[in-house]
Amino acid sequence: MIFHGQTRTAVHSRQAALGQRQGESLQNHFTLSAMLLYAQLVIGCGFVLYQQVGTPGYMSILLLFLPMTGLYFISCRLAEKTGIREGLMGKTADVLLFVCLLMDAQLSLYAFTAIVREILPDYNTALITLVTLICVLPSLHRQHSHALPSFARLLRYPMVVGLGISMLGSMRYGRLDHLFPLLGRGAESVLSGAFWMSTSLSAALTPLLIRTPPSGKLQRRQGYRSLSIGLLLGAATALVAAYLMPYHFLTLPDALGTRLLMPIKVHPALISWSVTVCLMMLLMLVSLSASLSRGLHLLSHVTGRPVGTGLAFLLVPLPALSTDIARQIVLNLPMIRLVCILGTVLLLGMGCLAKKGRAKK
Amino acid sequence: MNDKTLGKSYEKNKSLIENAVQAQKNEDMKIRPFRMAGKQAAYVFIDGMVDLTRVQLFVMDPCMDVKELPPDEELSDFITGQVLRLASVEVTTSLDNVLMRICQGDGALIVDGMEGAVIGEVKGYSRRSIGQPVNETVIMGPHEGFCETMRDNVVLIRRLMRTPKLISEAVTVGDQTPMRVSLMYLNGVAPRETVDEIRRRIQGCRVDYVSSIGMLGQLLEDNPYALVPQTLITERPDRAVSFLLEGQVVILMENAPLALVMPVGLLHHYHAPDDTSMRWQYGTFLRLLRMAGMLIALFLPAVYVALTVFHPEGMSLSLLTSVLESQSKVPLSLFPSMLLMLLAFSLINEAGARVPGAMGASLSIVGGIILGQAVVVADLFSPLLIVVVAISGLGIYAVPSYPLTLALRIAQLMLVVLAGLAGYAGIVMGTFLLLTRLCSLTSLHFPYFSPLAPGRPANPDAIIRMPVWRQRLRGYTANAFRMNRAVGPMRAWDKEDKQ
Repeated sequence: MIFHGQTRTAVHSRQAALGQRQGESLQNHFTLSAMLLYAQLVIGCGFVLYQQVGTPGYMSILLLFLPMTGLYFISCRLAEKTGIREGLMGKTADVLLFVCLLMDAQLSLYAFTAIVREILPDYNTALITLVTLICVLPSLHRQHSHALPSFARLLRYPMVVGLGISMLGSMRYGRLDHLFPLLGRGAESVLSGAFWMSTSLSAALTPLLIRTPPSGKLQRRQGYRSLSIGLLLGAATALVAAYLMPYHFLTLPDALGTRLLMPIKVHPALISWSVTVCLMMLLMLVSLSASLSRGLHLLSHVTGRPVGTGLAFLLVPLPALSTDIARQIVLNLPMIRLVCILGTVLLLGMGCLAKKGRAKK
Repeated sequence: MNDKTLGKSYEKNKSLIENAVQAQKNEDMKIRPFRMAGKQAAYVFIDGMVDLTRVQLFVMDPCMDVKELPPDEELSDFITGQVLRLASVEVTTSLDNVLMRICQGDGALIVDGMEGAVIGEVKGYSRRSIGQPVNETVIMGPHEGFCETMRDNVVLIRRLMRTPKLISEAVTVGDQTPMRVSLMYLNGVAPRETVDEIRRRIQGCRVDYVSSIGMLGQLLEDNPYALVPQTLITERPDRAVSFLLEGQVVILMENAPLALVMPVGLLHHYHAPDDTSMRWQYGTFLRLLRMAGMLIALFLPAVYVALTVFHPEGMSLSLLTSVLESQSKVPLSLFPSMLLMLLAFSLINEAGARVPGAMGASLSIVGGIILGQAVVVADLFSPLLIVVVAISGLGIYAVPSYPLTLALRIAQLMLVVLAGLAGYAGIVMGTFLLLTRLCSLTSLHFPYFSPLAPGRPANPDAIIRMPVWRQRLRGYTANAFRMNRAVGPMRAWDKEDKQ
């Protein structure tokens, strides 16, 4: 039996329903990207704020975000319009992006183990690393590929509320003059920090270059809104962290875990401490799984068949297990990321030009 | 004609049925032979399953009063059209069909020369009358619950929803003992794919017997190894109707005083039946309370263990002193104490559900005095730990879905174990594993966390409950082109209503 009016609207409605599902996938995809971006910013702040590589993150976010966004848009448009992702150039670009994502995963795992080591000093790093990787393993399963983006979407409000709770709980201890000594360090320091942070940003934006579900302009705009919120949240976190901490705290050469948890260690309170610690760890886990799953997705595209998680599991734990490797990666990370991003953009651009040339002939 | 088919011969048909029902051994299986205008006939039924008065008045008397019979070819039409005074009659040649209908409480008439048998509906077995729902009580709402008779349950729903678009499809499940199942849905509102898929799954169940609707639910759900239920069971017809309006399918089964609803998400288990009956402020307040209860039930014991055992630095000095003082006299460490207390609490719950009514008071004494007071006096458990377990227990009781409370209890125990092993890190890892797994679940291909993740168009009726006139959409489970519940303003009389 056909319901009244069903025959006239069924086709249109099925298309609309399909569009809706694609929109959902895209929104989830962007929410996960925003969370990855935020995690990278938080880790970046852990390095930058403590003079590991330079100067405050919020400054560099404001200064150098625009050029990187420009690069992203150019690459994205080129890849979408010309459809060169299937060719050799596109596959090489995917390998470069995989390297970026592997770096993200390594940093996330390193940050996670650092936080766990900070709150559980008696536990062995290798054991923590192994357990963490086992924990993220189910979320990388191909059949559950939609689970992680959905989880990110589910987590966004608790994340914002939790951050709000932890920030508001500590804000009364902050002082405005904590912000200024950092800003007056001179151009060289500012630029080096800015370079580090902007490459962090660009690395976090790379997941967007991966094939996204087909979508309309409106859905895409909503996705960009998610990214902007992730970015703003990162900047706000960096500002609040700097606002809370007295200057002399920043000069201490502490471990990454200590640095990441320092803003709440300055003035601990039960709820804000618990919420911040748990959210930070959850964020790092999401970031780790997101980087790994997208990296594996890229590799699968390059090889043309599903790639097991074993390969990534061999490469990811290295920095978490060795502080020396971690330090080398952190110091060289900006350059590696920049090379990967520029290489991707160049490859995609060359592929596009070559295709246009062939079309003219 | 094969052996399983009834023919024209009275003797052969009678013998087939006699052998199939084992009439020599089955003392309640009755085969009543008689003469119908000189021809041999018999009426087959199960004593106690049929209404004997109806059989006498509307089957036997009219048959025996027949003076003349038409030719054999017209015999079945004559009997169904002019002799039997029953509302529902059917002619069949399938022996299996005849046996199934007899077992369901109907009677079969065989007449010499008539091909097959005439089955008439004369059910008259004793049944429970419609009573109040036992486990889904509400403060504001109807007080009728389903009973064991499927036909009555269908009527209960039809009475609440008087529209020809309400479809009740009959399906059977079970190979050895087929059970009648009714698929109820609102035509046009429930997606056709959903109905087809449920029908396909029910027909694809290869079991000898389905004993309960809970068993049927387990056979139908997408992820049988998942911790949480992917079907919903209700004993309230009004709730079943609310699901039908959302485009879901309600499954009723013979002998089950419950209805199975598919597809469902986590939020369906979180909503209580009378949420909509209340004003939106009260409904929202109760839902937030429920949500807080769920979170407390899930995390409070684990957080308490993690804070006390691994992260005392997170606590203020006064709180830490109080916790350590209360724990200092207890011989057991906190982690095993918590596990034992949670298990004891679950044990009391289970015993409470199984204990006969007259012994309920004894259980209260055991639970309240012995476990509650004596263990504190004997310094077996710290008072603070008992407070934590009691509050988390209250949180569990606030959840309206019983299967979900069981899932919460298991998850609670798992998180306590992880917290006892690795503090907050364990809790976070456990939560990550649990939530990513839940996000990967589906119920009939609908994501389990919809409409939250992935975000789908839905009423402002997920976590909180906004006013009814703002609930203009059906659920995400409804047909995509029948999403709107109302056209124009719902409060059309209110000129200033902005909606």
